[in-house]
Amino acid sequence: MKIQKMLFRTLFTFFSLAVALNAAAQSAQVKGTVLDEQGNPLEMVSVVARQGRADMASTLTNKEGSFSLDNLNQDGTYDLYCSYVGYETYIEKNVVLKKTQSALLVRLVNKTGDLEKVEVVAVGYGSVRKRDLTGAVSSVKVQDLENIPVPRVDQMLAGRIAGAEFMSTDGAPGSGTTVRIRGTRSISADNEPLYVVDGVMDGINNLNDLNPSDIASISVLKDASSTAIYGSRGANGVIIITTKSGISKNGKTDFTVRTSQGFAKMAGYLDLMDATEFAQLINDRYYYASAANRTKPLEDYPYPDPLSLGGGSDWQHALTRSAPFSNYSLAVSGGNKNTRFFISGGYDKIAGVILGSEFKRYQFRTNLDQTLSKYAKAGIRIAYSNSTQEQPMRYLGAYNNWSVSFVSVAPVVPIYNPDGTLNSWNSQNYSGGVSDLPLFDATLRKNTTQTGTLTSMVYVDITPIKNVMAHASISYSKYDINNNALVPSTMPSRATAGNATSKSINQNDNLLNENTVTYKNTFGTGHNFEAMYGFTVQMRNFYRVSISGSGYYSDETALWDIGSIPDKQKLNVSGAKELQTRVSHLARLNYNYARKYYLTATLRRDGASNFAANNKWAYFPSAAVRWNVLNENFMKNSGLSDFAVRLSAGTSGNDAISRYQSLSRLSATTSGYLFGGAQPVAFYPSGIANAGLKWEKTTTYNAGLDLSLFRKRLEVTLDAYKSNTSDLLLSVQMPTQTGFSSRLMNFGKTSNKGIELTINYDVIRKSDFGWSASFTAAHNQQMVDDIGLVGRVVTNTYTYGAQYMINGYQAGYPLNAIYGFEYGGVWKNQDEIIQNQIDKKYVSASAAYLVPGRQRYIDQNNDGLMNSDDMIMLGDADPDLYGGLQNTFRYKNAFLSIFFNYSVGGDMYYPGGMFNMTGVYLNNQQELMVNRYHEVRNPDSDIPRTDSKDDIPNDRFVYDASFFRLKAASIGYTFDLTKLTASKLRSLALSLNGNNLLLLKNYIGYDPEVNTSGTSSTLRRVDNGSFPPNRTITFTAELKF
Amino acid sequence: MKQIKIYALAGLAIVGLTIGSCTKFLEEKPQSFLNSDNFYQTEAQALSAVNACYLKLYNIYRGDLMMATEYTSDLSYLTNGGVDQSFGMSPSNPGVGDGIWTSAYNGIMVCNATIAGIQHSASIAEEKKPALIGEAAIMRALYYYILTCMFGDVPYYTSDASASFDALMEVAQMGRMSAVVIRDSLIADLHKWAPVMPQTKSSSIADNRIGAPLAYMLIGKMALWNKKWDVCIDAMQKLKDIYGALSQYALTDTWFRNRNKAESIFEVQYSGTIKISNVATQMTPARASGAVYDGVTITQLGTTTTTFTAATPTDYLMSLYNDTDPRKNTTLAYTYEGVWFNRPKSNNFTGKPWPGPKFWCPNMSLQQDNNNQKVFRFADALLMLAEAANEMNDPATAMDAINQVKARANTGFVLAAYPGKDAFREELKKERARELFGEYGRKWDLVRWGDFYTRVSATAAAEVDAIQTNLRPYHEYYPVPQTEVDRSGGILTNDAYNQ
Repeated sequence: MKIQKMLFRTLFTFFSLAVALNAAAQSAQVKGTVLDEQGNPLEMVSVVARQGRADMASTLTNKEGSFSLDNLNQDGTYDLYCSYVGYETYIEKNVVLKKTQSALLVRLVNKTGDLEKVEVVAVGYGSVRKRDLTGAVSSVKVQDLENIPVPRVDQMLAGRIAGAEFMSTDGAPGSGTTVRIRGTRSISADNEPLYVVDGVMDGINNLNDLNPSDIASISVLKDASSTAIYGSRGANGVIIITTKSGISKNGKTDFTVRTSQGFAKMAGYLDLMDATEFAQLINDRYYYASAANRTKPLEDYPYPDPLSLGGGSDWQHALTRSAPFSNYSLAVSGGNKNTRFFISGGYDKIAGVILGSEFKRYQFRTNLDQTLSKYAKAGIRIAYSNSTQEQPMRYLGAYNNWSVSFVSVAPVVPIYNPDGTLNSWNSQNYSGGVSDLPLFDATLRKNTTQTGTLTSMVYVDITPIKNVMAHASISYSKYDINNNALVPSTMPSRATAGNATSKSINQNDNLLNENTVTYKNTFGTGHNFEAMYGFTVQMRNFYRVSISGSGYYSDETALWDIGSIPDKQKLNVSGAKELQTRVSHLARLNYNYARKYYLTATLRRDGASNFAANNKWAYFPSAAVRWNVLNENFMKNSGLSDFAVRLSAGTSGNDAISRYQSLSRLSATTSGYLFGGAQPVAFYPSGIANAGLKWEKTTTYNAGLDLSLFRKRLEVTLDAYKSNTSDLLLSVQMPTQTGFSSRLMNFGKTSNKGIELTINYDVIRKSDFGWSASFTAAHNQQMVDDIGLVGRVVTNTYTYGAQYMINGYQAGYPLNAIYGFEYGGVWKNQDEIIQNQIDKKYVSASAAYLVPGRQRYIDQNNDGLMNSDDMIMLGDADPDLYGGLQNTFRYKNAFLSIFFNYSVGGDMYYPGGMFNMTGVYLNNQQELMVNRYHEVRNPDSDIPRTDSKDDIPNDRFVYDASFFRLKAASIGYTFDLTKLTASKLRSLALSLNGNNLLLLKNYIGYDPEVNTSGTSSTLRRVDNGSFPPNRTITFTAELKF
Repeated sequence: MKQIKIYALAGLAIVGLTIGSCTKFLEEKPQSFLNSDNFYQTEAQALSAVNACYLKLYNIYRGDLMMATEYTSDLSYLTNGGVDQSFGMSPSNPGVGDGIWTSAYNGIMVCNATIAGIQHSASIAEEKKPALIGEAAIMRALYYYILTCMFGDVPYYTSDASASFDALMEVAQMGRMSAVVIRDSLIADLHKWAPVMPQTKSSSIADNRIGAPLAYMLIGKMALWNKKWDVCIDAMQKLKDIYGALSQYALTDTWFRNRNKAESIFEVQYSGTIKISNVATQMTPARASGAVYDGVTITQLGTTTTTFTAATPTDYLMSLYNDTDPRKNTTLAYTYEGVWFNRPKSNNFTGKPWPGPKFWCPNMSLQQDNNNQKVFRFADALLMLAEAANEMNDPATAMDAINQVKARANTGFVLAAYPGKDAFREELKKERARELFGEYGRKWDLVRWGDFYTRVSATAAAEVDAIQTNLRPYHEYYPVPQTEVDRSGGILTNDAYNQ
């Protein structure tokens, strides 16, 4: 509702403005010609006549460079502005218009250095002016992001790019992100986009490796015409991030010092039972335990007086806290004519809202560019990021490890013993048992992940002959992840077995050489031609060593003195090394005639090692056209600032499967069967050769429209697309009688179609006051078109019971459909059960559930049997519409920025319901279970009675995942210190920022915008116990000098 | 100057084209794993593949299977509300059947691949092969024995499914095969391998590996299922030749904590905290705090044991034991060192006893039962011999065999005279209960005798509401899990459950 209102209001505002503009009409004109430094006419130069700060008339120069501004007041005084991308703006002040005004001659000079205002968009292996784009590319205004107090780039981007969906794997500080650009295509291969940072592929492993304040621009390539240049890597879209370069300020150096201080807290809590309510549930169970005798004396019940228990233990509050957050960063940039540099450093320290969790990171970057001669330029990029993540709490699960998860331990289990020590007795763990209750994990356990990412790149640009530019770069990146975990001997579960350690060391490196030659020329009048050829070679190494041991004498040294193990049998070691190579040839042709008609064609040939021997190579072609309608003569007086149509088609590929998948494999273990007390090595088959493994290919068609009105105050970009993916890399579930549970194959087809809209609107553009709004909306529908002979590919099952499919692929159904049984309420009495034997309307999980108060499901085929034939599609995890709305207000030096993001129409499965919405005595229940069926107390309820965990996925656990979130808001003021300090200091900006301030949702879990399946290819919106996204409040101060 | 740059550029292009066209650059040469083509070069490698055949025993011989064979029989029940214990199994709720199906077939796949790998090896001496292959083949027979007992008719194959994609797909499309046919095939295979295996007591084979005794035992078990009495008798006689008289083996050696004693034919090896089962958690009197177990201090059990709801013996099992039967107080626990537990003491000393010390694990850390799991032993073989001989109308052999078992318990228990074929069979069923409760087999015996539904209805169901409500004749076999039915595209079926 709110969104609709906002849209309506926006539309209304600019229609009124359009009417106002047409009203003004007088009679005087000014003509002129614009030339470049060489005296050639410049086309498409914007010429504006202004009075004070108001634009009175504007136009663009034609092919001959001439312009004519009409409808100006005779004898009026105007300032004339001539501006063009890449040139210094020419200003002619105080022109008094005469009746016969002489023509002006303007020469624009090339701008050097500062390219900030040039709307140049990075595309693969180059950049183009936004106006020359043939593909569907979104770019993000970095100034919108600068005041957002998040340490993560993904959190800054969510909702700002139409068609890109960002989701946290969970809300823990420092955890990863999963991104889908225009939905999911592949079923088994990776669906994450390719990240290219300063031209380096695979240089970062995670968006967390980047310092948000180092980023100069972000482009997202969405259609095949733009991504095909990345061939095999581009099918999932490409995110190109360019870091800041130094700016020539004639030797002056700019410093920016910035700090943020704040805190994070839980955005909300689950509504769970308190101790009294839970005790009543347990009493119900006792009541139902014997069918024969239901009149037992009160004192025989497990809890004779539930009310005396009160609220009991609130585990959610006990495990969470308000957690401080701080960030410091320093950036230095500057340079002279030949040398430019940008150096930055940052430090973050973020405590997590879950007790014991913490994230620390420091980052450095040096970007250096040097002009060597008239013909050559070279530069280096070096960045290092090191982070330490502490996450001692293991189990946040919906049902995984329910006996020790902070959302499932029952409120009747005390947190502390009477003597103040931590309680380790979970009375609900079957008949009671010693458990590592949540506070033990949070306070005693160590689980540290240390990540180091080094990225380095050197490049050289050479112009050997006129119109030819050669570019060569070599980059090397190294990515280390060390995990060190210790469960000390003081942990209840380790009381006799002693402490346990596990360590893993992963070292990955990436060597990439890329070379391109570009030829660029203009022929005749307006034939602009550019051709590029390149080749790239890439080698990636993956090393891993894992060690685990237990029973060390000392907790203090166990983690590091791993050799000091008393019993060598308790030491386990494993390791691996893998190598992946790629070789590519790429070519691109750009042609445009008079900046009206554009053609781009690309071709890439990729070879990748991780396919079967005869299927390593593939071609990826694409083509695109653009028509700048505005540049046609008939559009001369349209009043539009931009109007262009784009069409593209192309093929890109996906090779994102792990190494050696086409080879047969024997695995080894030394923790196998005991022979005479020892565990000799055992080798067993774990992979089957697959000579048919080949590329998965996606063909995309895109149509786009770029529209700009009212002197660029309103910009609209609209894209519609359709993509087809075939030869899916599919992990097919095998009958386990084969000894294998799944295998990777190429087959099946999926499709995506969608529409994306971006609107940027400067509602008010005055010198003292500004209001700009930007709105994105995207709709994407993904379908499984063909799944071959298997009929259905299961991607996610509930892990208990029959392991029925929750998510999977069936031809003709949405890709992210949710499956299960249709809930039919509970049996109200025995008569219904008997009648149903004839009617066959309902089924229950087993004979044990054919009793009043327990669940029944619709028998879809009325055969009286409960099996997968009765499963139906319960929902679709993909939203119908999602996007964001940014509003920025500026008054003099103060600003207010508010960003909402939203998602409408997706569904989400709440797997926790299997345990905490079925009255099971083992763990705490959702509050709604208070209204459960009871034959005497509540005989009309359709909520199952106590003790009814039947392990059947059904629509009772499917929730609408729509949400509306006040994602970010900041308010700030910038003090101009130039005058005060005699130019010693420039400015001080203070701001107060909030993140995730408000969330409207229908979902019963913490947050619908999480996905605990990590970056899983197939699964979106699975919440199996996640660290909920925090709410943060931050104060930021930034000093420039 | 300009020329130098052109050369540099040309140079780069050449380097690129050379690498680009080099197919070797894209070849995958794994450095951290082997495959069957470069393995099976030595006898040691072959042995390490045979070792893998044992891996899945740990996924099978633990609490789940104990429950599925013992706590769902006429001898005991478990009232913790679980699916299997209350006979809630269905294709939708396959209970422990799911895990056992998957584990057993993974074991079978590994055995088949190992056998094929050794057979095809050119570098292993031919005379070394039979013993290695035999070990894998017996292990394979064991997995199939478990599957046919649990599920009845199941897919059966002995080919190497891991050899190629086609081989895998062939297996994936197999439906259920008659269990009788499978057992006949396995018996024939075991007859081939048993003679080449160590002909000595299992306890004397180095490193607790398996030998001929397990092969004969499996032949005997499957022959009984198929009512091939002579085949069973023949195999049991072979075991008698190896094991001699039962009287030489102490009854206390049958306790789970006493590892690899001479009477043993097959035990799954558990140890320390490395390999643990969870069986004792449901076989020990409930511990509230310290070393107090249901009101009795048992120092040897320690203070760190986790006990879950324990199995409850049926009145029928309790009624089988004579007070002078030494097996009564090791199988069932009424008292410990003369002190009564609270549970049996209740209702004027008519309450239920706990499972006895035979199954307890001393000083258990939480749920970590590290007792060996006893699967087959010589007394079982003698009772099988007695059963088969009785069916073959050979009272002399039958009487000798059953009396060896009875006499070890108490010489006064021996049958003086042959009571007739039917009465003998009934006595044998009781004797199997007294001797072998808690040793992974009672339910399968009931199913084999065709007694399952009637016996459980008359015993456990009479004591437990949920069993009374839920028990159906089709529960004699587990359903094939619905996921497997789906994955097979409907080739696997559950006809019995779908009536």
